[in-house]
Amino acid sequence: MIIIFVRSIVVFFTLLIVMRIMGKRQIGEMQPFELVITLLISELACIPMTDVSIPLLYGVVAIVAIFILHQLISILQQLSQTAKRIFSGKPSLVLNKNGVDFYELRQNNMDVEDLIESMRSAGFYSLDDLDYAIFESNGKLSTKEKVDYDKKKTALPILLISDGKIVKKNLEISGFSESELLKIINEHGAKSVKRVGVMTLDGNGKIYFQTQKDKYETFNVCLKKGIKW
Amino acid sequence: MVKTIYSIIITVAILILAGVGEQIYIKKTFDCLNQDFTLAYEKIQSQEATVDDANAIKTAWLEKKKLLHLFISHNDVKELDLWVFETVAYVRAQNFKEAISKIEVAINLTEQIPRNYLIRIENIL
Repeated sequence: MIIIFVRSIVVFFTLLIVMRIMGKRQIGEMQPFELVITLLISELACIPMTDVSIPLLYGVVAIVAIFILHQLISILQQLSQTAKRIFSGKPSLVLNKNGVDFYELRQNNMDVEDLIESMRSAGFYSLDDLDYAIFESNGKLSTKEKVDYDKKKTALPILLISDGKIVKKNLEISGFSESELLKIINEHGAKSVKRVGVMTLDGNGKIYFQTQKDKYETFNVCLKKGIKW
Repeated sequence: MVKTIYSIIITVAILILAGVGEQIYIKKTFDCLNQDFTLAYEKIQSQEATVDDANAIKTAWLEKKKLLHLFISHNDVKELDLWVFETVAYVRAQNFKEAISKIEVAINLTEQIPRNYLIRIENIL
């Protein structure tokens, strides 16, 4: 009985550590420890239920162990901010008035494409639409749009460069060649594609451009005739 | 929050008490079985074992088996069950040579099985 209890605690913390390391993209609307509990409980309940060679008591003890851990972590989180940070993580400000925070994105095992995807789910299609974007500790994206957001609504932007890599399929859609793209980024202070954190282009020719370290900038380019998406 | 803390303390206390009780019960039961089987082993070895002795082994085992199902893996119970009943059958048939090899395994199992349920690092990992 005590062995099952200790084993459940070991498995719980192993899973919790793994989930915390994996970052926010692995969880959705649940705190990491709640997700771990959800993952464990179903298995713990099922195995002794279906495998008659295991005493039912084993399942019950393991579930009780998980219950104790849940209660314990909830109390620790109420009592201490440090404990809250350890068990649930903290919100990550991934987009601010300077643009995308690539360090915060990497901390959560995410890239610009993931951020854009989450923004689309929240109803925003351009990085330029927002002043702030925050990944909450439960993996949800909270946003604060720009004051003149309604006026700024633009055509759908496509990602041309993500974390120093050209998105070739989108570059083809944009009608630009690699050399033309390189010329544009050189004109805006990046020596090579590797230095660019993110670059998007919308259907009106508006570019959102940010190097890995500097503040973002927006500017317009002329799209080639007949290019639409 | 106080209620939650109390619920945690009470649950942990119950679990620990039940766990300690389980450890004591398993150890005591298997020690008892080991004694019974050893006694039977001596009788079989001296070829004095009778049908009554065979029935005594069977009864001792069946009495303890019911409750053991609660605490140990059913496969362990099944394994011991097999060796005990083979011993009983050979003693009834007065085939002492076969019976002794079976009871030896049963005695060994009464020593091995409780070790799997002791609070030891090898059992946790």
